Amino acid sequence: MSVSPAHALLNAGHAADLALGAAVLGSGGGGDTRTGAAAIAAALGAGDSVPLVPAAAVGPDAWVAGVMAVGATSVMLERLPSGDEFTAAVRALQRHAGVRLDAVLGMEGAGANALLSVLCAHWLNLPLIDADGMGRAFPRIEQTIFTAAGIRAAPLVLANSTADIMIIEAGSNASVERLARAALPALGGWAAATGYLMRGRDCAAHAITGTFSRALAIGAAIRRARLGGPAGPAGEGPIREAGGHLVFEGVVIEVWQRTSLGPGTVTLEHRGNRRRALRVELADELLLAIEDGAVAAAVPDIICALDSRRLTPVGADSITTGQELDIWRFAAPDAWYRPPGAGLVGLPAFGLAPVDWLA
Amino acid sequence: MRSALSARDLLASEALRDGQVVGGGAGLDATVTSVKLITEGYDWGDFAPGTGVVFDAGSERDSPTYRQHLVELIARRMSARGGRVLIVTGVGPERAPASTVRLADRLGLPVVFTARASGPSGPELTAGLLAIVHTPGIAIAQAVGTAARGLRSAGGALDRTLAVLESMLHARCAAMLPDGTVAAGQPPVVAHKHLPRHPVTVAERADDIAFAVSPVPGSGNPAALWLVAESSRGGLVWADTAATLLDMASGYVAARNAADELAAERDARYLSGLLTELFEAGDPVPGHIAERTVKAGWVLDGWHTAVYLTMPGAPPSLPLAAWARLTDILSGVLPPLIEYGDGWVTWTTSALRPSTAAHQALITGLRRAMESYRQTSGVPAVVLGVSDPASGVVRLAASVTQARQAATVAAATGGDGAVQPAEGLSLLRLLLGGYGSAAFRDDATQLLRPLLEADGGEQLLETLEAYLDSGRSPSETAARLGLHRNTVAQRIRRAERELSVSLDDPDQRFAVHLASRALRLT
Repeated sequence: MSVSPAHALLNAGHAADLALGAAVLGSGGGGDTRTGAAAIAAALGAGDSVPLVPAAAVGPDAWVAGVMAVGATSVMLERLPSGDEFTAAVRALQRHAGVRLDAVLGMEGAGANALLSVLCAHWLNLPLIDADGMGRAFPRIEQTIFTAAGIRAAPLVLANSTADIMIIEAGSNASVERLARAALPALGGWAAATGYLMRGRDCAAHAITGTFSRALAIGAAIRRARLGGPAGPAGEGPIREAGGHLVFEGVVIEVWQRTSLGPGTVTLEHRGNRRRALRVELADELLLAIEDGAVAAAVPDIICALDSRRLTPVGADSITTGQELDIWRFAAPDAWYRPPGAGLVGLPAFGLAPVDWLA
Repeated sequence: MRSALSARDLLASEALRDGQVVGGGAGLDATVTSVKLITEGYDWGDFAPGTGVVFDAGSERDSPTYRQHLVELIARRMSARGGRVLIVTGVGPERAPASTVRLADRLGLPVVFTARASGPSGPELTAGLLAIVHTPGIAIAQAVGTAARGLRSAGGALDRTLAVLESMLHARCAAMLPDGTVAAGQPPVVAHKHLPRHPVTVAERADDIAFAVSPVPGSGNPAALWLVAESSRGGLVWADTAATLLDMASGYVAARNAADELAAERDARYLSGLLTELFEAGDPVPGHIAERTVKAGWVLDGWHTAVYLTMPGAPPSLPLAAWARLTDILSGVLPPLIEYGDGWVTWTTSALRPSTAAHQALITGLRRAMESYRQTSGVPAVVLGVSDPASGVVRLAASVTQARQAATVAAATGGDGAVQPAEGLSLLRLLLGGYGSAAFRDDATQLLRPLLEADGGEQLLETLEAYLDSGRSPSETAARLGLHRNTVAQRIRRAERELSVSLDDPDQRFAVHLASRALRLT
């Protein structure tokens, strides 16, 4: 066993905080987290737990791989994973590569995939490394810090609930994304995926660490903020302590749906000063917030909309006019703000022209 | 008189015809001194105040990059540096997001959206706007060059001239009478109640509308016809251009009017000559005259009711615009007027003798027409006389005379816009009408002037009048005026002396009596 004893154990009691925090790190995307939380509560209800170990505690020669679900999370939520998809995918990867995994880590430790990572570790009876490849949600498989570090996503194994398995070997991580995306319709809209097979030393050197801990901390902060009484300044403190910066307290006055030509555009009016307006550009995630002609937050910043009364994260696809939303910004992991990571996840990666020349 | 170019003037240009101001309208009048195309990575170091910005937010087909989110960022930056207008091209037909509208309004920076599909590319647009900004004179010269061809081929015809102006200026254009009545074209939005009293061209802005007005030369002073162009998109430079084109157009219209006037005068002389010949020839009408009357469209058989139009005061002369208004109003009631004597005549004809009701209906119709003519401001007073119905050519001549006498009475007594039927007019009234006329009054004043200018002239005239009215009886005169008989005799002698007349001479006595009566009537 090349993994040190767990520093923490994840149990059913962590499900709610993890779901809240993972939704925040989803930056408006990443899919619904409540179903995953319910699944964790059910799976770990009998007193079971999942060891959560720091990347540094994984031995340098240990084999680790990332896990996630790819495809339409709406389809996945209609037909919940049984766990067999993930175990089948990991076994196929082990067979294909001739290795045996010592631990798993998240490919995307945010949104629904944060919770699926915990479930997957539970189903495989493996520790979960407190690290992932994104540190937030991104829409594409290759948008990981591993890609920036030259770690290959392939072989990537896709498995579905009818025991179909597809192994993708490809020349680049972008090709892996392209091929996997093309295969999804044939696989039923979504698939369990495992890839980014690497040694423990590479994981420790390159992975974004502490993502699950961060989600738990943010979730707990929001829970404390909710307990703090009616929403308002009194409730913001804990979220600020967890790294949140309140960008705007607004009400949605206009929503332009996303089209093939561009992102969706939302306009909020400030609840305290009606002359202030915030423009939010969104695709799968909230990408850009502009207040009165100045950039207030931009991807890779984690931009999160919280329902102002219940402090519930609101997904990019659930924003409607009349909603009272607080827009929060959380810093993304440092690696995304500098090359080579920045090139993978800046505005141009989402089809939006860069704004730095106007900052 | 070149005006400073504003964002409005850019909006009025051909290149920005489809541009929509999505917000920041408050800044549309600020002066624009330059135009710059801004692309990604632009260095703001050399951005000068007064600059208008063109930004192409369109997506390239091969690399679909979304750029509309940059609009607000650019707006803020350029506004902070004194930028004047942001023109966003390639944004398709959709409206701007609420955030863009609010920011533009808040900054007072006009933001204009224009779809590139229907217009020039960003660089082309910028080049076109730069030309307008730096050399507005060139834009005007180009417009004048193009307009000259169109205006020449329109030949001064009002409707066609206005159509040329409308397409050149992208404006509402009209020809107007001084009271604001639209003679042709689209009714203006601005209430041009105060068209200049003097015939000068004006280019201005009022109530968010730029306009130019230009008098048609030769239509009188103050001008009786004005050309007007209005645009909700233009600035003062547009108005200057419009004024230049209107002045050109006014020249063509004036030339056309002069030609029309000449032709009309020629026709009028011919017709009035024909009418005189007709009346002199009497019944039966000689064949060569009958032929010409048929060509003139006159009906000689049947029952005629003559209508005579004249103006109180001499000589009768109607400005073109008033004449146009009058003939327009009367065209629904009467056949065309023919110049005759000191006025104009025409007649209605029916196969059978018109009933009293039909005759009355004609008079009512004429009164209504005169009422609406009178409501046109700036037109001189006219009066109408209407004859009794009569049949045949000889009786037509008599009817015309009767209508003319009725008109004379109307001019003398009824004043502006009166319609006087001959029916029931006594010989006395006709005579009264005659010597109550302005012309006669002038003669009477002339005759009596020495008396009126003498010391106690009024008193002398009063005594003289009473003396003549009483059949030259000094005692009756003295009784009527409460004077001594000798005083009357002494005043009469003095009056004879001042006037250099002898009241013993019947002709001189009658003239003095008539003159004093005419003067009393005023």
